[in-house]
Amino acid sequence: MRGATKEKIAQEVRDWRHEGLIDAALADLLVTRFAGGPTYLTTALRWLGFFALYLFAQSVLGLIGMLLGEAALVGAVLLVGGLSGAAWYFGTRLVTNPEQRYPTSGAVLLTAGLIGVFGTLTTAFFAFGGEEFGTVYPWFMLLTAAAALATAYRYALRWPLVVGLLVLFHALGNWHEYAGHGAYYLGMRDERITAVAGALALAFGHWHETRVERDNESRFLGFGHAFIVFGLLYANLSAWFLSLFPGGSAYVLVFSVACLAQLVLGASLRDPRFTGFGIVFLSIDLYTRFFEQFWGSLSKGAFFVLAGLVAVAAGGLMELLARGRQQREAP
Amino acid sequence: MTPRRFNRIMTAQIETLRREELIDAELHATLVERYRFEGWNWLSLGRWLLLFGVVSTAAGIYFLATEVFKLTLEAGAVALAIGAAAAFGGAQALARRGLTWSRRSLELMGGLLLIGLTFVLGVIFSTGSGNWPALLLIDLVVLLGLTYALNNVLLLVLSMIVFFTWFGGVTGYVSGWGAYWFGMNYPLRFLLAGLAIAGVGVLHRLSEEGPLVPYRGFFKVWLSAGVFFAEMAVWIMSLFGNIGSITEAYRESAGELWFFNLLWAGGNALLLQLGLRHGLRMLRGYAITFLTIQAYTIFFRWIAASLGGVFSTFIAGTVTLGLVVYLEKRRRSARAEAEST
Repeated sequence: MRGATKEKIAQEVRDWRHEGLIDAALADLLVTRFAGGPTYLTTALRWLGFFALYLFAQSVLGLIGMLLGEAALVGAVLLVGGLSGAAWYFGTRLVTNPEQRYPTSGAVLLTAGLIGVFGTLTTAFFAFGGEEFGTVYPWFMLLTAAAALATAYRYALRWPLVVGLLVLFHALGNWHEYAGHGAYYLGMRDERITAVAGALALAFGHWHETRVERDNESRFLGFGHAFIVFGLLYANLSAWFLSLFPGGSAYVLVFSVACLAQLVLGASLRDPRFTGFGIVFLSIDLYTRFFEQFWGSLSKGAFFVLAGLVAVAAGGLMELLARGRQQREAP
Repeated sequence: MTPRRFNRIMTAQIETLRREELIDAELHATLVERYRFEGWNWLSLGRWLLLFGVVSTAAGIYFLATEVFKLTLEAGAVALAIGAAAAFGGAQALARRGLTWSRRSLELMGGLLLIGLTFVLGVIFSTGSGNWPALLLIDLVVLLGLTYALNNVLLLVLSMIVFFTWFGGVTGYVSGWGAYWFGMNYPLRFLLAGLAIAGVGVLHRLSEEGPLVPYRGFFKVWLSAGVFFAEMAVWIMSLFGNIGSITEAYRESAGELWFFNLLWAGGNALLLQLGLRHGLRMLRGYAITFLTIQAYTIFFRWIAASLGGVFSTFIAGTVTLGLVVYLEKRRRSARAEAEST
């Protein structure tokens, strides 16, 4: 059994303990059996590594801006490219080391090097007199995403995969920023394209999990999960944004049905990812509709009451079904 | 790995634990049910439909009563009282049939109607003070009592939301602008209250092994609400300083921002460690989420605009990576030592 699976089982055992299902002695015994002792250092290392990566990514962006203000632009390209190449090279060496002496550090360096691909392309574009950056940066992002995905599959690493997916969806026109005065913005250039890309990522992730990761020892364990989560996130965000535009009544229906469909899928597949995304986005949907109605003029009281009563009746029926099955199966 | 396959692995492990007699038959049955991998999870689906259903119904009743039927205040109070009594009475009937989540949802509906009733009565018997939050305090006391009397975790969640509003928290959506907002009056009070509520959560968890056994799992709501209030309060103060009412923002000093940012980062580092040490994924999730928000905000507020912080982020990244390398080295040495002994 892979370490990641053992870690997940150990976490389940800790949940049993917090819910009072098992006592402390049994919990300690089982955690030691599955995780080989306390795993907090391993997990802490992973998150610490993630923050190192985050900071490096920020410094790459800052470096581009600073170097572009200098006279020696070709030198700037060589510097960014050289630093990124070095990070990628040493990261690869650490990751592929059979002794696995510094696996987290290696993954951080390797992924930082990949982010540098975008940095190098951007610096080169300006250094050689490029104009209208807005037309080329999606292509730079796509190239970076391709490099990240190729690295992820070559070395069976999840961090480059996550970076690749993030850059890929940003290349499609997703953006966000902190706008000052405590306001954060999130936007999309074309919600329909993002929705299609999200649906494709979701389908690919499902195929990956059920086919490529059929073997529990697969090198690519967890890859399908990343595709599914990104797919669900961006497909839901697209539908949500479309439902906000004036005259988007049809999309309100699409968004609401999609949220309910995720709840149904979550129940049929016993998959908490679908259930979780369904709950969060259905809550946002109801919240938005509530305020839209509150400020609008058209009463939808009957709609809310009817929808609510239908949901209550359906929910009660399902609980009856679940209880009936439990009673049938009881010894 | 699909969740279904993980459940299959868990079931196999649980069978092994039963064969080894590490768990008894009752616990075995509970755990197997928890990781069931065949058929539909009707209970999960039904639970969420019930929850959304009662919230939607309560909102609809409000709209109908105010906009369509245009009830007088007295008639509204009578209707709400009858509705609340019917909800709580109906819930007891469902409890006798063993429908736990239907019962809890109907009681939640009763709780929502009670809040409506309090406000209508408040308007009828108004002294002109305009102190409407006091009505929420009354609701809070009643709802907390009902939470424990009826053993209903949904009413505890509602109590926390009522507390948030009573204490000066606001949130909303700007219609037509696609903008959602969140604010707190006197956020320092929220920080202290959040810590106190999280403290109640810890005590609750400890007591769930003893006198609070029937209320197992309630500690998660206390802990989650407390940590959430504290996190949001420090987030606001890291942006605007120790403000009073929401309208008093933009008077912060640099020292204040430094202090609250350090407090926020330090608090989340501690929360992460506690979450990892005690296997509480909720604390881990809060810490990671808010550390990411803080790093994102600092970068885009102070660095990205001027692009002047290249070396600081590079140095911070290098130091963090250095720490990772050091810890990995230590872990390897510890493992080698353990193997040799």
